[in-house]
Amino acid sequence: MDVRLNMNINNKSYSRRKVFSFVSGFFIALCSKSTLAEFKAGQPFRDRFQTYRQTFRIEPDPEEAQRIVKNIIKGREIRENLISLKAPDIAENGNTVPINFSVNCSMQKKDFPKTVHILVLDNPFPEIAKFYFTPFSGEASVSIRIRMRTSSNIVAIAEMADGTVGETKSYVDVTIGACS
Amino acid sequence: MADEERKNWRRRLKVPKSANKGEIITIKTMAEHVMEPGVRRDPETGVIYPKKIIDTVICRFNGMQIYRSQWYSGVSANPFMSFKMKAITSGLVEVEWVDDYGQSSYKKAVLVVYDNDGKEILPIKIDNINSSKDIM
Repeated sequence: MDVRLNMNINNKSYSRRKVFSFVSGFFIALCSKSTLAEFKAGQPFRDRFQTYRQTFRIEPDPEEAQRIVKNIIKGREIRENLISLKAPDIAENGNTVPINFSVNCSMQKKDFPKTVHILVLDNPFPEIAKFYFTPFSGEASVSIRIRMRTSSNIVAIAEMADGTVGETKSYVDVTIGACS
Repeated sequence: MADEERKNWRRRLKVPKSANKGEIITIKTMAEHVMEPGVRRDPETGVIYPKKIIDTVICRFNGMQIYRSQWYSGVSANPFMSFKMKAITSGLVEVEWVDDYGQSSYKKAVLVVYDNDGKEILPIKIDNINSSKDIM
């Protein structure tokens, strides 16, 4: 689930020196962690901004999105014709773009998608949704409506239960972009 | 203001009333919600509207989780989603929407599954001898 920073420090119960030492140590640990294992970890980089209530308008960065895709795939081979994505060629309104994906598999033991990721590469926050399936859902196909700021690629990645990965892309032209 | 707050709590769930055994049914869900991404500003004052989105959507069948989805701010307002389920036994379908603030709301529907002979398949097997014995 999400990583949220909860700093509940009661200044009354601790002395000032203790609080300062704790805070400084925390920041040093944070900085060292962020410099060393920022992109190696599975947690995507831009996801940290999403945890705040007020997120400022930032410009889309496709390189960050590619890094997130890399973190999901982790160098595994991509199976062909595993996942198919339906999206419109031209979307007039970027606020609601209807998409639909389906995974070609028999939903039996170890032949079902554990997670399906959907990313829009040119959005400021490229991660849009994750879907977790079980064999009881007889077919892994979902339709949903998403936001897009500019015309860009939509990427759908399916992670199967036995560890194999499938990926598709489809390009959508957006005339009026959303503000997300 | 009260009407705007009330809008965020309207939920819709569409499940077919009956199905045959082994059939794959579609479940359509719709939540009326603003899905504020935390980027939009008030045009007059310039104050950013705080972020408020639906985080997770969980589907349970007879109390067992069969499907889950996690959303971020890229999902559009009034989020519509449809997914599939395999009809094995008749039972209760529950869909739960959990907010960014941890507030949850749910809606439920009853699905009846018929055999090839036209009999209803119950989730509980009832013995004629010992009627209190329940086997899933």
